[in-house]
Amino acid sequence: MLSSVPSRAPRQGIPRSLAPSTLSRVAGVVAWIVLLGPLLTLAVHLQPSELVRALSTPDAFGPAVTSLVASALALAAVVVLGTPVAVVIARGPSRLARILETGVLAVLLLPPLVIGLLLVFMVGPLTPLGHLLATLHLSATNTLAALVIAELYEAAPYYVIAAAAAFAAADPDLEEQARLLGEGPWGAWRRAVLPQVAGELAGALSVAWARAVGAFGAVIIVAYHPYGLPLQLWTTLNELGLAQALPFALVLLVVALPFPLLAYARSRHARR
Amino acid sequence: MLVADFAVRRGTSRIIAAFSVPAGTILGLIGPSGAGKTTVLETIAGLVALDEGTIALDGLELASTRRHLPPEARSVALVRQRPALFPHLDVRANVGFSPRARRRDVEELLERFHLSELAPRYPRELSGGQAQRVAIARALAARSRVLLLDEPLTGLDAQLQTEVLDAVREAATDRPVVLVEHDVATVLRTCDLVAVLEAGRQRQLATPAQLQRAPADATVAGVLGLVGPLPTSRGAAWAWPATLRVVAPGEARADALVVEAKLCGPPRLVAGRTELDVLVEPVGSLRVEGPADLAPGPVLLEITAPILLEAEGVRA
Repeated sequence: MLSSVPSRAPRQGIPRSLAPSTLSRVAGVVAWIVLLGPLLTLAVHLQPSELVRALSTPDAFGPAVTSLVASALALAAVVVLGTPVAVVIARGPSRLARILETGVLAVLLLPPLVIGLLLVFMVGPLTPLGHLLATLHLSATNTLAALVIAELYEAAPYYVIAAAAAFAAADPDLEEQARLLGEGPWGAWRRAVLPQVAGELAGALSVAWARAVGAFGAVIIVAYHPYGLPLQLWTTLNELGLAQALPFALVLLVVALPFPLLAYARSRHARR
Repeated sequence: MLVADFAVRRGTSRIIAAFSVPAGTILGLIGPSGAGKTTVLETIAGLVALDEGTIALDGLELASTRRHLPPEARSVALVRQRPALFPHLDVRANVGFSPRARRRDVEELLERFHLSELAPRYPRELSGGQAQRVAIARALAARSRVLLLDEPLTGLDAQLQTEVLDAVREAATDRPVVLVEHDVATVLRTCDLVAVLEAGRQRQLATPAQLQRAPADATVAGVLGLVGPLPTSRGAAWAWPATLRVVAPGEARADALVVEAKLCGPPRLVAGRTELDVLVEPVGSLRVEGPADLAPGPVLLEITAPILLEAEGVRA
């Protein structure tokens, strides 16, 4: 006997074959719970009293400020250095584009600890670059500059890869049209290309921001001091234990997440 | 006045074009796909560097083998089939995009192209014809001294095509316009001059009337879409060289045969009819007379190829 329950029509505009089935919806929700499990755990285990106590210590916000300043500087450097690389990669194919892309991928794939070790050999106090910096009364180890450099290396590849994809997807006809209408190359890029990729660039930056704020592997080797948030979390965990470290995990999330969430909300809005 | 006389290499092909377009004139560029029409426009716009020759606008050299003004310095607008409106800007901002655009001109153009009501809309909210009108208004707001149009009517219905063509005529009042369009009838109806390109070569430059009356060769006639076998020559003329078959019914009077034509073979009897192949050359009026060995009576001319319609001097 045919069911008397009327079948639900597929959502308008979505072919029946592409409409999510009940099974895929359930699978999606389960996967979502699994992925967000650690975050949900934090909410369950974090006691408000511990949070208040941890945040009322004299140096509670020093590492957060250090992380914010260092990550902002690292992000600025990522944009300045990474954007031209992304543009060249996107404008390929050329030998230069292939070489740049391979190099960026290599840095992306390097374990952060290895990056830290190699940075010591590159800019450490016993290297030519280290000597040069020393003559300028600067140091690329255990300083804010060192923290910025370590975060730069951990974050930049994420930005460059995503930005290159965004630039590659931009409509070249709009840039051409801007030139024909009287804009020079820079003006055409700024007024015709950049607005097209703004949402994607914000997404790329937010990922880079999250990587920079949370950078640990390279940081622990070249910039143990001054403490940023990840090292504060690490040392608290080592010295005081899990429960005392948990509030700083929340602080790290609070510092790292708003920018990516805003970028996501903006890109959702732009897609509408 | 736009004066173009250049050669440009694109991939393995070489494209040669030579024409002058005074202000107020619409030049149509026609030819089969791959003939080089778009490349000609792109070369004039400065998107492609020429290999030989010059392009000049009102006496100013835009391009030569020694000089290549970048697109932004040429005041030459190119409107393509896809109008490439800036999606993040509304219609008013699109029209006023150019740094050369003046606010007063933008408002006047919005009015002139019936876009005032659409001014706050974004490109995704426009029809194809509206979008093309915005693109043309934007080109004029940039104070472009030449307007190049690359198949701006493709994909538009008849009414939208009329809208866009009206805008093109409006734009052509005080500047040269070059229009690439695959619909030959539209070009012949719209343009003051027509250049026929085929395989990178400019085969003929003439007014639409001259072109229809006297195509330079069979290739041009083919591009015009005016060739093809006809069952009879009645009301028809021909392009040079044309092959005609003279068919004489048995009872016909021998008062018609092609002269100024080369006989291609002796008369022969096919299915009870006398046939005679002739090759007409050059283009000119067709005069028919009776040959000595053809039976008297009216003669039908079967023109096999190529053939032009509506030309002068045809007799059946």
